[in-house]
Amino acid sequence: MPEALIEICNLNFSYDKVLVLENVNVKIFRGEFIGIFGPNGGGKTTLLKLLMGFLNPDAGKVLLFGRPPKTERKNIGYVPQVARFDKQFPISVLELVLMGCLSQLRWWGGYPAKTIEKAKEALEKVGLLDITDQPFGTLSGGQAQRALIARALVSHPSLLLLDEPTASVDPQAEKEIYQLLDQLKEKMTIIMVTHDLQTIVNKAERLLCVHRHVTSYQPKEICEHFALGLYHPPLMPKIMQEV
Amino acid sequence: MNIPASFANFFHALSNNPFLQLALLAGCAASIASGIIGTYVVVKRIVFISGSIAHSVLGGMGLCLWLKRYYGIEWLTPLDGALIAALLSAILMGYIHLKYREREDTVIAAIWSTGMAIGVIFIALTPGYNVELMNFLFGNILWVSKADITMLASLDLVLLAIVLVFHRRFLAICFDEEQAALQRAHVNGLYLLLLCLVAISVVLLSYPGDSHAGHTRGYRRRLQQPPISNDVDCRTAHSVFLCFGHMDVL
Repeated sequence: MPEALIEICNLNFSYDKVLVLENVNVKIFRGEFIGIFGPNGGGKTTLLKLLMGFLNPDAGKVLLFGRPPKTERKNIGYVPQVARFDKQFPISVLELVLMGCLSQLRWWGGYPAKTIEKAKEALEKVGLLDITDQPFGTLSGGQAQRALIARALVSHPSLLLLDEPTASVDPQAEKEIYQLLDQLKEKMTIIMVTHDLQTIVNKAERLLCVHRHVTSYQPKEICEHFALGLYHPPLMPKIMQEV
Repeated sequence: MNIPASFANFFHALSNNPFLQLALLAGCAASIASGIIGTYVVVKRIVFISGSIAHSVLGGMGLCLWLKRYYGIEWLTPLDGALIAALLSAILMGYIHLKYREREDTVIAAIWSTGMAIGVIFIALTPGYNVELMNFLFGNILWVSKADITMLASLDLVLLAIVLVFHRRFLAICFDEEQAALQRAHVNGLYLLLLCLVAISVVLLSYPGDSHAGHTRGYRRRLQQPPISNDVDCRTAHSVFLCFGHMDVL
């Protein structure tokens, strides 16, 4: 059994008194590409936030690389939903990507030349090197998403978390994002929240359905019912196959 | 009045009245501080918090004036009270933002009105005629003295130094606190520092009687062009023009 990168044991989490996640037990191993799906309000983003230590579980524990998440944050690259950001915020694409290596800032507030080089490399990887000086707010959905991916990659994380990276992009941009993830999955563990079951079934090695409880599926166990919002345990398709 | 003539009048008045020159200098100095800090206030969307800090200073001013007049504590000035009240309310506001995000709005409004109410109570309790307090709150740019200008200029220098060092960190927490936290930035500490800078700017800008603190909120909306560093000077120009207009009316 390989060493678990992420270990969640008997976790409960609630906002005020509403129980969002109950008795969650998950192990994720180094190098896996995990897809997370589930209904709205099922706790997908909450699970990501627990992994980064922005939220604390009511019960149970989360371990990242065998340690509490707060101490391991530097190894995490996080790609939030584009829609969350202020379009009017005065920030260029390069400045955005540089925020991914804020910890390398010198005491007087400047970035070392090496860091700026790294940011440009990350932008080249996502194909945005020609628009480094453009304001972030003027980018299209697909470009903005790729810029955020570059920001997550610039610190060379070993764990990449993506929250619906294909939610607000056109089909061409979606294809490009998946191609990029294909290249990255050799180098890092990827956890991606998505509503696009059809694509993720072909891409991910394992899927987690987050619906208050968390259930792990092999891609072949994913049933068409899920896309309609009818989630059920993996037991069922097996029985059907046997029949 | 046509515009060239009014400009000519303005420059004529400026060359003949030293107090106008001081007022213009104060306007320029104030615009640097408010331009710099106001930018963060707008992009971080803490206009309401800043408004609350700016108004709750009345409580501190009222208390100090009352202590001074009633108990004869001579060294205490309303400015001391304003500074303490502003910093206290900034820290309180920061704490509320960090702990009770859902009810933040309501609590900020409560601090706003409570601060002013305390001020009004102390004004009523203080013996004598208290026109002074209202002048501290609303200000009059024509009262500026040379000492005030020196103080404003040093405030500008301190603010500039802090912002030069912390600009990228402030920008990071304004744009995306979570990402900043992933990069192990002290998000809460930086947020409190920013609020304290807002508090100090608000108080010291109101001291020489300049009313620009209230205008800072609008600058960025009017002159929106990224990145931040480039338009600080635009805003400075803008507020100098505000100051021109202000004096022309006088």
